[in-house]
Amino acid sequence: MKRTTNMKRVTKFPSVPVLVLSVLLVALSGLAGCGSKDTPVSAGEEAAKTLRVGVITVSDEPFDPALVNLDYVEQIQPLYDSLLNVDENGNYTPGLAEEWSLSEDRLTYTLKLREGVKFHDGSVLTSEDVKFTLEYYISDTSRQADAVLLKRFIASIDTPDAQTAVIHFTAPCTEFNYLLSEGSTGSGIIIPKAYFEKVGAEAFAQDPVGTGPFKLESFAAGDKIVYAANEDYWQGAPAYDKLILRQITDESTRIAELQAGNIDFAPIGAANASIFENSEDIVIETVDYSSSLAVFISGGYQDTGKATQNAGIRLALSAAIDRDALVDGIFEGQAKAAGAYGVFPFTPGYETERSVPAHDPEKAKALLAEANYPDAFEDPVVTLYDAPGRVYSTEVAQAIAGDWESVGIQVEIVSIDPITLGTEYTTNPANESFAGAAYLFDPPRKYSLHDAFGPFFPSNSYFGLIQGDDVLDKDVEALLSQNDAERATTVVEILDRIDASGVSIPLVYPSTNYAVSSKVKSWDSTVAAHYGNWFYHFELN
Amino acid sequence: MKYAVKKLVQSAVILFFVSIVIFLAVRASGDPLQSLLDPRASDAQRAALSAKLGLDKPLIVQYGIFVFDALRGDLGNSHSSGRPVLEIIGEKLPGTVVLSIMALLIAILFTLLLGTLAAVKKNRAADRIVAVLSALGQSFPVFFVGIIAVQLLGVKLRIFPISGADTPLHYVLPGVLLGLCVSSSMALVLRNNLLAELESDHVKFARLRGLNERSVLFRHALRNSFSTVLSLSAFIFANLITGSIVIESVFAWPGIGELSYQAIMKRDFPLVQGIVLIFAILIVSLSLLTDILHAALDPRIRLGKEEMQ
Amino acid sequence: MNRLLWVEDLSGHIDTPKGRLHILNGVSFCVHENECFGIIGESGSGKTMTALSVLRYAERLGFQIDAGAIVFEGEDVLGFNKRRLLHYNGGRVAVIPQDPMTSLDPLFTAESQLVETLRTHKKLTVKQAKAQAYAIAEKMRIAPEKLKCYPFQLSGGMLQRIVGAAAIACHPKMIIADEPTTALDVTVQLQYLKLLRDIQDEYGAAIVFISHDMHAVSMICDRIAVMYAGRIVECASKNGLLRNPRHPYTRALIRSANLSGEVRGKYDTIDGVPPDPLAKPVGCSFADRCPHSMPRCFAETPPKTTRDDHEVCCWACQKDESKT
Repeated sequence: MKRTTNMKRVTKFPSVPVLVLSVLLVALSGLAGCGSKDTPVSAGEEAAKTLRVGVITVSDEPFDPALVNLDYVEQIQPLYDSLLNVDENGNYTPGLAEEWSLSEDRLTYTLKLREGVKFHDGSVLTSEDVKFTLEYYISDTSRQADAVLLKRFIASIDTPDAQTAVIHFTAPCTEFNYLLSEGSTGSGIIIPKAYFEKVGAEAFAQDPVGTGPFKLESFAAGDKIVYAANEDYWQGAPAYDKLILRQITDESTRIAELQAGNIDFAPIGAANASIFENSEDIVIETVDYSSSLAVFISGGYQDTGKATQNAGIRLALSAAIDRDALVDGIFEGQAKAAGAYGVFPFTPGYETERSVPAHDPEKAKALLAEANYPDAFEDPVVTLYDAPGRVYSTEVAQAIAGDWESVGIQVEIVSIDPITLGTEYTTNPANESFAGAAYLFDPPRKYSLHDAFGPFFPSNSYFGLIQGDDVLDKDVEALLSQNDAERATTVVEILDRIDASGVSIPLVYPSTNYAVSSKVKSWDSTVAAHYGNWFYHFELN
Repeated sequence: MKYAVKKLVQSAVILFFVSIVIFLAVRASGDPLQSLLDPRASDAQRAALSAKLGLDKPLIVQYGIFVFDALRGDLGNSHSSGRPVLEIIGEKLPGTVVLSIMALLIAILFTLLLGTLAAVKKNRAADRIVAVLSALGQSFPVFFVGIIAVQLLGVKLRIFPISGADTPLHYVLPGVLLGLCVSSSMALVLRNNLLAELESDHVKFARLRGLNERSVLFRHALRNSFSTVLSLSAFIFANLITGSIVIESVFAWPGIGELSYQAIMKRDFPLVQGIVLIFAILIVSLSLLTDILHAALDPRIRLGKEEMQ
Repeated sequence: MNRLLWVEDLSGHIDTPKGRLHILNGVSFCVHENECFGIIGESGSGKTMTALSVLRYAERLGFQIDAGAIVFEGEDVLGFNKRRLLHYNGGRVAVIPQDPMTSLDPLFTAESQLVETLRTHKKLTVKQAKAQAYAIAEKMRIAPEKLKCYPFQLSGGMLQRIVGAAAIACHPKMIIADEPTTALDVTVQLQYLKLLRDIQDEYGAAIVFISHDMHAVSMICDRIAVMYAGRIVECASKNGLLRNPRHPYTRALIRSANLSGEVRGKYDTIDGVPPDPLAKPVGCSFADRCPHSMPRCFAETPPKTTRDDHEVCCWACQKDESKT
């Protein structure tokens, strides 16, 4: 009985339990979603007309206008109104105030409030609230960006009657139209005195009350804010019921959510706008002049042996830059070449738009030769700081460095984090490594002339870009007490001096693209709408 | 008992050192006033805010306050929002923990499935496929796979929601994705352990006693191979929690990763300190838990080297 | 007596990266019911692989059978399907492994592993199985409280009894003990061997005792087979083999084991080394070490010859016989 067998090890994989397990798992995950609706919006929001916006950040900010970080005023704006509104041409229009006037001597500013405006808690807006709010903004606990100016000029506030507030200035001041408007950093937002005093600052920050078109329904930092329409809003209730701001930091996820129909409106970078070219549901609209991008040369460069201490070199830096290439190449057309930093075509007092500096490499080389670059300098290298925080900053830095190098300037790009950069350019006197360095500057947009120049150019200012130019110092200071016609002349002089110094090299005004789904019938895409209550002006299908 | 006490004391010492390091590190990272105040703010404003936040006191005093309050359960208030740190962390941590637990459970499930499959079908097609999948899983960045998953399952097929954390269904994409990526490293470990176990003497004796292969595999071989997976799990769970920022940004998941990123960017000292301290406590507890689980699983650890009879 | 196990001309090899190892080259023997059968040989002689082949475990290790048959209780073992094999292992033929310390799962108590073995082969509730486990433990002289211990808590001797208990638990017809005393202290060995015999008497199982230790084998075995280079070279009753060893290898083995206990001036070793398993055997494998070898031994494999129930494979022995 012979048998030749050749059996390998037989270990059968117990396939049946595995199969069962996998089926169970798939079924479980399917079941998990069965209970909720098939659209990922929770049940309560389905019934209401809801505008779902994808934003880059929903920051953990207090809802108090005096405490909110400047970058996130927009986040709390739906709750509030300012005294003055702004239209797309930069003209001031009535907000909570129906009328306003400045006395001839520019020392008294009178506001006439609209009647019958109610706060969310039902109380009526009076001049008491205006006085209370402004005094709060100038108190030491306030982190209001413009508190310095408010404090400097407000001597006292009278409330002769419930609809009238009179502000007495310490010195002539014409800046209060701006300061009390929705175009400011929120210093025109009025909060209720009674409610605030009743609950205290801490509670107000979490449970705010304002006059705005929306009330706060829920807030989850890092996740979303849900606003509910204020039916009693003085301009009429919003055209829809709920506003949801959802944080979606990653742009590809934002795009995916748009495509999946989970959000209706979101900012999109220029590079990705083409994804929606053939989309039926989603349209890309562009809002111009969202901010102002420039290269600053940090102060304190005198006698440092650095190349940038020479004015000719600085002018060469400007001439070497090809701004059109920046607009077309990096911003894909979604930007406008700029002739000035910080002022926009619609900034009150900025009458004639300055022409964009020409791209003139030959002129740049001539200037460099004249200054005997690089031999005449101990340190011919121009350091360019790039703080990746804003979109495109690295690409812009590299493009500019390329332009500079092509005319013979030695450049070194240094990456730095935004907070550290902020510390550097507010250190006065500047650190040795930072003195004379170039850096990209792109702050949030403001509508004030003084704001554009105020922090940077007077030699005694915090930033100290231009040292010891008395005329400039006088001019910038004068802006605060000049009317629009006077400002028009002053600003020309200021810009001429700045251009001559070369410490501020305007680049572009970047635009912002928004992806708008077909659910949105109309919205106010004009520039001015970016501040103030632009969500109020949406209409949904 | 003595062992447990010793462990607890060790943990306390570790936490103490962590608190010192994070206290100093966060203060070396930058000035929080930068992000809280406009650069043009006046010196008076700066001083007032500094005093309010307690940043004007000497370092030792600040540290003392930090530790003393922490021991009473008060981790201070966030610089930017003013809310209690513990409350803020409490809002975000559970979401991340639940997601991490889910990812870990899925990972363990996949590890068991794939690792066992690979060991049993050693050197055959299934084994090689598992090896390839494992290599892919470890080399593909989670971020990249996440984006693909979002496109495929969220946009094209619309099966799962893409971002946010509202419903249980929101946990599926990020949880399964994380679980898969994590299991790729564990699966091969299990495979190798299992292969060694399947050739061990006690498995041989079990087979010779007539136990069927299913019993041998699951009751004897797998249980003995599991301890390494367990140790890895603890390590991976800690990483899931502390490293969740990537997955949270892709899926707009409001968790502790996103919170810590914001806190660090704003130099929010109390919040960053609070987060790191909570993480440290979590990890220390995790290692204790792992020890306990190991003891439960293996009688040799549980009962120690008792007298031989 | 009936033949319980009959192995006929079993040959097989393992392929390794170095080449083909010819481990078994025509192994033939039989074991009767209730018999204690010893297989003795050096390491590498193939005795363990023979046992593993009988158990159908060798194939898991890559061992391939070229020729031969294994018959147990009249059934063709090599033809068993999976189901029959599961019953065969542990139920009809049991094993006492060489190293008791590593043969039990460290994560389970002795009791649970005994219960597990019992319930694999018989339909029992846990309670019934436990009762039987304790009964068997008693037979193996294991104190009841030891059963509740984990393997790491028990001594080598105790563990050997436990694995022994696992072996007899299901009343197998045959128990294969592979070097069961090698891992034990000398003092314990005797006890254990006596225990094995007692078990055998009580349960009526055959024991196949595999060892390199002539002393142990000679103590309890009824019949002994001698294995060399993958072949059984001699097989006889204990007395027959020890008093009258015919094969030169056996004689050398007995001499070097010093069973008579004589005091000698030098140790007797066997010159030479066992053949390289990579080479296919030609003729008698022992020829190059054998003092009586002839040219024929190198060319032809000696067949098995039997006289008075004493088997041997040797040309020299045949020649002797023909002389007498």
